Amino acid sequence: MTVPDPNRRDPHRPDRDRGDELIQKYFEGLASDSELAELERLLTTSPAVASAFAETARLHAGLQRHFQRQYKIDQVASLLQAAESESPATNRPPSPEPVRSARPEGPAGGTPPARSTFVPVYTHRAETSRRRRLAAIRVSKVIAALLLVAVGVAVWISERTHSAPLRLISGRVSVAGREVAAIPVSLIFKVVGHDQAVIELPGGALVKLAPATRATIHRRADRAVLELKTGGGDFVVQPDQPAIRIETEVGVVTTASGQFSLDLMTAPVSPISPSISMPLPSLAVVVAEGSVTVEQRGRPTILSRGEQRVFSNAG
Amino acid sequence: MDRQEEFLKLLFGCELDIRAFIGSVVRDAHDSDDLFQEVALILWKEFSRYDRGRSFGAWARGIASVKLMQRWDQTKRLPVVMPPETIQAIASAFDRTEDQSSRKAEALERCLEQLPEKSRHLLALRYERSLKVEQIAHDLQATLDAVYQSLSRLRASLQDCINRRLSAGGTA
Repeated sequence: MTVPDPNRRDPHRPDRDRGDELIQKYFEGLASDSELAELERLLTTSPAVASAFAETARLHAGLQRHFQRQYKIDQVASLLQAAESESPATNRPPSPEPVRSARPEGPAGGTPPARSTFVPVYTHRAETSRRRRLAAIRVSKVIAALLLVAVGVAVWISERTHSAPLRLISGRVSVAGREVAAIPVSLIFKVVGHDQAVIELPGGALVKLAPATRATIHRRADRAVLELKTGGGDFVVQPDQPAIRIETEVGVVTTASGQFSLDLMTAPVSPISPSISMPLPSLAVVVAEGSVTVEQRGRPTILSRGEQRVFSNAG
Repeated sequence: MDRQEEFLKLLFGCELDIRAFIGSVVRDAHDSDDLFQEVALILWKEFSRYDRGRSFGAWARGIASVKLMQRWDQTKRLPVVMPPETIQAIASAFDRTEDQSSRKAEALERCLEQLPEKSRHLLALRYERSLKVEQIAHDLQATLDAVYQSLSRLRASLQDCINRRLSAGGTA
């Protein structure tokens, strides 16, 4: 690695030049702890560096948008739908986290931010439960109205016309920290609680996701696509059901018919022996019935009944 | 325009900017997506408090800042990488530079169209497949430094291209 060494810094270099260098390394995940500390100092002392940082952040976000082709309208509509379908049993007030003042303090009672753009975000802890319930009902009603508009816009724009539902047969899932009663499309959800979340995809294929699994389900032209972020589960696709596709950062798993399990590990599981070095992320695939194809960088690997294998980006 | 339509229009207009802000201090893409979703819901719930005389983007980033600082207080450094005072400085920088942000996005699209295929491929590895520099270097059988420098130069040239288009008064 020959990325410029901060120790060789010319002390007379303008902050902006050094800032640009640190910003590039930061956004590539290559900044060391000392460089991160240096960047933090520059961001708070040099408006020019902070502005360059903001512009670089916009460029990164723009490139991600361009190459990943997010369907933002669908995502927002789905988010509102998820909020609307929040199960009654878990219909809590809208503030799931500790209440903070409108002008939050820094850590350990540090200096409050000087910026004047803050507005109250959460309801106060002292509010009565009745007021909270009323507020929650009011929000739900307004969201329902908004949902009609949002879904209309989404339907108008989206080329996806499939209406078959994603059924949550059992288990619990949450979106943005709120438990929901239905599986949202194109939104990240998380399996909460101690039980699997059993989901029926359009066409009948079953997905049994393990607790703490994070995933998104998209609807594409001819099938449902599950984007697995972390965790895993069991997948069952019968011969008369549509094929499914599971996308992970390690590879893409597809099957027309089969029963298999996946486990996408993205962080070390404690405790792990220091002598064991496992490349992360890694994807463990175990096939119980039929066959599945795991495609990595354009190279397919077919696994049949009884086979198992761990894939990683290290090859 | 009713309230709901107004909210959607405002949110869609600055969604990329909000994502950019959150993503700049939350380096894990999954955590960043989660936080964006949480912020989007809070924005709707708090929309009645939004002062139309102010920039919606600045208001949204203010709320996002609160959320990020709360998360920092709960779990230092992960997933929020920056401390509160730095988050404030970054939010202020976004406010100062938000003019023309939608035109910049359009200009970026035009600039990307002009890139040679090799450059597009490199960017696709980085942003479409979300590979890290090390993984790209491995795939391309290149050194880490070569990939890092190539990506840095590419982004610098894209930024120059965007600025030229904006100063020329159009994005076409």
